[in-house]
Amino acid sequence: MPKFISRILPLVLLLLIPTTSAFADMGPKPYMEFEFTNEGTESLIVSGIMYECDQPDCSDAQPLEEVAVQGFYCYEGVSCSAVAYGFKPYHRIELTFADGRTLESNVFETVGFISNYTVTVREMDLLVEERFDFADFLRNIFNSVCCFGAGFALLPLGMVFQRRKK
Amino acid sequence: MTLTLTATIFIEGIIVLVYSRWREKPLLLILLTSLFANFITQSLLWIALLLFFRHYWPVLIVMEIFIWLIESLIFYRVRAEQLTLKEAMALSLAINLASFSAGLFLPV
Repeated sequence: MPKFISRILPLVLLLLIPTTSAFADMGPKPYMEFEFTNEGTESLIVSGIMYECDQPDCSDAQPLEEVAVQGFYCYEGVSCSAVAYGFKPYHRIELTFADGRTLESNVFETVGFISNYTVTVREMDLLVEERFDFADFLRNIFNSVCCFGAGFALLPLGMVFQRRKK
Repeated sequence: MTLTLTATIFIEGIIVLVYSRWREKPLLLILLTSLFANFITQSLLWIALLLFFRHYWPVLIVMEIFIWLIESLIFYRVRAEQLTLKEAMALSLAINLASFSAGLFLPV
């Protein structure tokens, strides 16, 4: 039986490969998600730049560089996300819309390892508001603790194999 | 987190598979130990990153070194694997370097 398992295990591992690509974690890397609401006429997002700053007024703004998977990405003109090998404390975004408008946002802070924001598209600018999801934070901690517990649940199985080896 | 853990287990599983075949060590036991170690260490890594998100690189580097040492110790302690401390440390270093490097370039 163990020989059989050792033969099919590589196959099982192959099946475990995630088939969908999500700009989320392995590394894991800090991540930001932006949701949009419109105050005026709705227009699709054509492109966007995210600026990174150390100063609270963002006077030292530098665009978030696209290095490997790091970058600011917008999807289907309606949502955006950012992934980085570490974010600076303050940020600002600039979006260009299909109707030709280019709007800038207020300065906003990183709120967590996974940060969620609501962006209100106004006539003259963008209003970015932090959305700290405490339930989300608790869920991540809970998942981590469960994962820790699952590791210990494997112990008896390991002991059985160890005894068999002896 | 599920994606991270799955990808880590997959990459480390391949290294363990190659190592076990090459050094004629018990594959299943080492894989099981690697799985156990990953559940424990990935949880700790996630908790540390969630809590200290403003210091990504320092936390990541300290935790990766910690994970390497913890996993080496776990591999070494499971006697039936027949790994010396040196072998356990080398194997743990190889699997963690592989998953860490892959993780930097994979958009998951």
